[in-house]
Amino acid sequence: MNDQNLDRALVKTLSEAHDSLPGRDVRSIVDLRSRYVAAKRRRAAALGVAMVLGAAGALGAAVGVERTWHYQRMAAEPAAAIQLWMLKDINDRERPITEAVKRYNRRSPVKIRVTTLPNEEYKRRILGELGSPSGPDIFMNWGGKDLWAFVHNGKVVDLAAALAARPAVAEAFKPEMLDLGSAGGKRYALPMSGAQPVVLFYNKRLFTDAGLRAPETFSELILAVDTFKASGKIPIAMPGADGWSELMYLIYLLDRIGAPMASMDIANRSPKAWEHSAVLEAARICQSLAARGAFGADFDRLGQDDNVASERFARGEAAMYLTGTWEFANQMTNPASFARDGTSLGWTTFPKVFDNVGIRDYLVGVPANLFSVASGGQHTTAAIDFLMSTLVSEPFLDDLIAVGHAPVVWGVEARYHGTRHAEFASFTSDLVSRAGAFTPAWGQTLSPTPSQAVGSSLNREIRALFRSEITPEAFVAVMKSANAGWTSPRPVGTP
Amino acid sequence: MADDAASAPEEFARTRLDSLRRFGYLVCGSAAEADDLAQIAVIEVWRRWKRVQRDPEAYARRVIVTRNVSRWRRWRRERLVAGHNPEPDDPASQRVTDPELWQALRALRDLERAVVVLHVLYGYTFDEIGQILDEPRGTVSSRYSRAKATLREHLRPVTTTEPNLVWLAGGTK
Repeated sequence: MNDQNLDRALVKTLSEAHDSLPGRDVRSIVDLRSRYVAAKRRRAAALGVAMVLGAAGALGAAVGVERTWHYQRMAAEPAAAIQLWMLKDINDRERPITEAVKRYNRRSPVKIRVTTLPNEEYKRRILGELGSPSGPDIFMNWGGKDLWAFVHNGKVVDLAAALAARPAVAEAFKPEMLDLGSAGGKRYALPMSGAQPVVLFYNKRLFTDAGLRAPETFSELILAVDTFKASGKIPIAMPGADGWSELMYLIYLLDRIGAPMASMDIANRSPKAWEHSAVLEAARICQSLAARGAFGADFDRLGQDDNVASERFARGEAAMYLTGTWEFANQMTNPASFARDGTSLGWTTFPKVFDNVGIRDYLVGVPANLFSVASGGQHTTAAIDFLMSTLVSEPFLDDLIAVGHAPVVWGVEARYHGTRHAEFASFTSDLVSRAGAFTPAWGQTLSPTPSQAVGSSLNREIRALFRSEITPEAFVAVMKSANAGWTSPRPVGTP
Repeated sequence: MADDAASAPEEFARTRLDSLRRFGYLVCGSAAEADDLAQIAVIEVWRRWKRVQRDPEAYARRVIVTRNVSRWRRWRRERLVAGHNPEPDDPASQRVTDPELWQALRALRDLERAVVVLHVLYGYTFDEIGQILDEPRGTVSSRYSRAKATLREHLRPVTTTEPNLVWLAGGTK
């Protein structure tokens, strides 16, 4: 059967099958409505139910969900504790988890031990030790291709059955956030943080003094840049040493000049990704912004982990800061920050470039951090149970909000009311629900193989772009060839 | 005007539920399951109406395809069918001209079948399918190729006269 015949036969068969279903009467709309209302009620109750689950200590009630992989732990005796690994945060953002662990340890014979590590060390150790006796049972990750690489190697437990046994938990999460850790119908990770888009923070006092309002368009941003530069301030704080901060501008500009798909293509490593003319245009705008002095003189030497950029913004030496919403907590907990007065910290979305473009609100940033369970461990059931009972529980969600996260579950808006962070959390939450798409920052990667090769070229070249050491054309050309030499690992779920 | 706005989601449900059921049936192969998927899809569209109202159909289709791909659903579907539904769960098998091809389609992996349905019957391009399924175009394209290869394989005409040379030579396939 040659292909044309097959195609014709397929169309015919599918049409016939399509028509073969008997019709349904209008009553099904009524069923729909009651189902919709019931689902809403269930979601609202989910948080209450989860709290009850947590309080009752559902350890024994957990449905056995272990998948046995081939990797065996070498240890002769059961491990003494459940090892949980996560990123170390400068300003106490691990508190929601550490408090949840304390609560868990009070009622559980098997304790959870939390290890926090700084960014680079965390990545290195996960790569080296996941699946080994010294490795974690629960580990933080960002999903995406790195998680799939681990999944592909049998290192991650599938949580689908555990979730199926606890529909209240599954339904509490917003589906697109739950999907961050999903592929091919399996669930490999759960959101453990709030959504953290990249937004433009600004110092309202400085803006008022300069007679400026918050930049909504790119030309207003340029005006602000020029005004602050003239008065001796750094217009925009930028920790440019790792290239990741520069990337935020490139990705946002790609969306704002009308090519959000170009950004997705790059994130997906599509072969033609770097050939979009919009990429060249966005690169040009980035270079001219930096050349204009928007970021000060030494931006490319400041590392994210040094905290210098955040400090400068806190002290009013820089008027703006484009970064993730985690910065809100940083400023609020920094004793030296202008933001502590509770009214001077401003925030807005990345400015528009053209009026009729970017209709759908595209966001860049970290959709959420995730927790996964390593396979081959001795305490898989307990580890899963901890996650299921914690991540949608009331105390945990309250703690997330208190550190400035917008949790990625339903029904949290009511919680914000009356908190110091109400306005900001609502802003973030609203942004995230309105977002047409939420592009993860491309550079954030764990695996040492090809994706890091592209990652480190990108970081190196984009810094050179911002320093005007290479032309936008050369930047695009180098990235094209770096991208071409890359092949992706097959994600699990593809046959 | 306010009335119109309030009834747009209902209008969507009223006019599109049936076609979503049928789409669901092609995607999952079970009439009972298709009903369920279509309802869920409409509910999800209603939940996100503000965000998806420009193309609620595409979003509904996405929900149907992605919800279908799940061990949980497959297990549930098997139970539904085993529960002796009075109505036949697979009406197409009685009504299509080529029942073997229909069964071959049902036997495909979920996402492969979904890509074939979206491309062949609904005419979406691979890029558009990639957007619906939130997958790279390359993945969509491979799924499609694999599906076609399987279908071709499945329907290779059986020739009974020639001996199986591999067997004769003593090798194994």
